[in-house]
Amino acid sequence: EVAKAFINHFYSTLDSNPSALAGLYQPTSVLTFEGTKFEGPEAIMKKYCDLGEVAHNVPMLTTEVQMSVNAQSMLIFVTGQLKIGATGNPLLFSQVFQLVSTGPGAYYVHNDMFRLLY
Amino acid sequence: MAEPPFEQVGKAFVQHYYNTFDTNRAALASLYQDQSMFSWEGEKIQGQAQIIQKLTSLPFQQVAHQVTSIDCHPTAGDGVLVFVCGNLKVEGEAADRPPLKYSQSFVLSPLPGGAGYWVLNDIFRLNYG
Repeated sequence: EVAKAFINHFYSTLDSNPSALAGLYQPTSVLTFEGTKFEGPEAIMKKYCDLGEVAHNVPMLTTEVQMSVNAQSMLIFVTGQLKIGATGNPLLFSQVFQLVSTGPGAYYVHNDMFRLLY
Repeated sequence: MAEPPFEQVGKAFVQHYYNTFDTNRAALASLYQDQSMFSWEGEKIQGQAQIIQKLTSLPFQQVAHQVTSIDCHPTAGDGVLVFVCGNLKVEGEAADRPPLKYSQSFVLSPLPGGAGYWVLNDIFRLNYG
């Protein structure tokens, strides 16, 4: 439901127009990307834009969801494949999001952690 | 540079969790409460008793977790979000078989009076290439 819609939106935006991701984050949001921390929408969006050409295999993602610390927060755990550049081999990745609701149907990403799996 | 407290909490927890898992799985019970939620390979389980029942009935006796990365963030409600990636070695597997890759995410929630943390959320996935 909410989680699936978010995941579809997140990865299609990331793959086609990463600068539009800024709207999903707030100043308190934190991304850890392969062990490096980025805080706030601008830093996070810049990191995603700097990845260059990337394509996530959205239909094949596995997504797990659990309600978290309170009724407004949701833990989402994704594993799947992505390709970097036009000719890259598929790489396995795993990503964790903590979504927090600010009102009916409105969410932002409070925590975001990404790891490639070697 | 000193490590922020949530990093220390996260790392200490991961070490304790996998040591206990690999030596005495039933002792993990004290880390879970009735509201704890566990997903194991897509199967959703809630509550301390059910979670321990699942963990102790997994189809292997001996296992060793080798952690390759731990990421920690503070999250809502003074919780700690922990994301672990690593390898799993299961008993009886030949030493030259490539290890099973896994990733696991926990949200830790503080116990009253600063007595420690319990596991609110736990999601485990094996990662196949």
